[in-house]
Amino acid sequence: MRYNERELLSLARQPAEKAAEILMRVPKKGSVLKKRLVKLVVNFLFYFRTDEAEPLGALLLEHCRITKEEENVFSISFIEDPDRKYSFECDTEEQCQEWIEALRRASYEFMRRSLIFYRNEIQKMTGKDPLEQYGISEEARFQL
Amino acid sequence: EPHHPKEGQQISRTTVPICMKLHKTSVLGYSRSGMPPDRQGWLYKKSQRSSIYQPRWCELRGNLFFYWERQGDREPLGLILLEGCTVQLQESSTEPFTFQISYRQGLLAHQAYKLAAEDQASLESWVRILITASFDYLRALVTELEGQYRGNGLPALEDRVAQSSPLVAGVGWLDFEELHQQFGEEILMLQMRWREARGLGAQPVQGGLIDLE
Repeated sequence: MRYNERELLSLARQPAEKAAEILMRVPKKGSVLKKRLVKLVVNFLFYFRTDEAEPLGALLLEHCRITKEEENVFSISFIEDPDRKYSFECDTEEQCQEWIEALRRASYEFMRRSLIFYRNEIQKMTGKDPLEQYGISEEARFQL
Repeated sequence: EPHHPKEGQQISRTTVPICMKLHKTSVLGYSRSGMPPDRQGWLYKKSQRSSIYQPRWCELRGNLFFYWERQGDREPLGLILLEGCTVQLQESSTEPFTFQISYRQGLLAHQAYKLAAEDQASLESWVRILITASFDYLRALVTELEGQYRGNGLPALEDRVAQSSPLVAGVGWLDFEELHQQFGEEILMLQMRWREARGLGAQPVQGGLIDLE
């Protein structure tokens, strides 16, 4: 599958929703924890060597599971491949919880569900469809 | 023109060799998701190499635009990320119903994808949805609606779940994100409302009302 790496690189350079240096392990045999700069931008998680400007890798945060593991540790795995886990060891439990929360909300699908929820609630409360003013009320992607 | 290197290949035009690993399993999984895409159909895509327009089966999912050689092929031919891009109609008598996806800045300036639809209606509906496909756009919408929702005096989504609702009481404390994860999609919201409306007590939610799988 072709993709333009520069589109992702360009995204990786955008201001991040969240960024921190975290110990990370990739699901490869013999892989060890390494300190990485981890950066959340829209529904992508980029990770960099701490002294490099370009990311080592990018994870699309859709259809993924964010799991609290042991203390200070969370993991990301994907529904298609649940046993291969990206592991993150934070400095504190608080940091760990913040990242878990942020990552669970980071998917386009989560955003879409939130939109549908609020849209329906507002419609129930006010009798008006809040999306109508944006001209997108008929789109299937925002329907319940 | 955007350059589509094979995975691992370096792009010669930049000063820094790029070998970032995109976790493809997750992307491919999303492209094969059981849910219908946000938009799908045939478009013509101008080839970088030959400048010929080639038919491609296209599917938009979220902020990702996938295209296949044929509908039903397993792996997409390619992917276009729709963040920070502009989508513009092209005025051309030789290339009718064309539009362009281009990027504003930096690494991607001067790069564009040229696509063409079969007719005016298809052109307009694709352009309309691609313009509003970015995560940034959706997030802005959600923020706006969330503000309206709170402005009407109702507690925020998470606070509502924090108060005892029969569903949450039944499965023990789960935050909203975990519920989303475990049950997914709009089904959860439907289930919550169904149960609350009927005043149902704590019940386990696995094995739902509707068999979804």
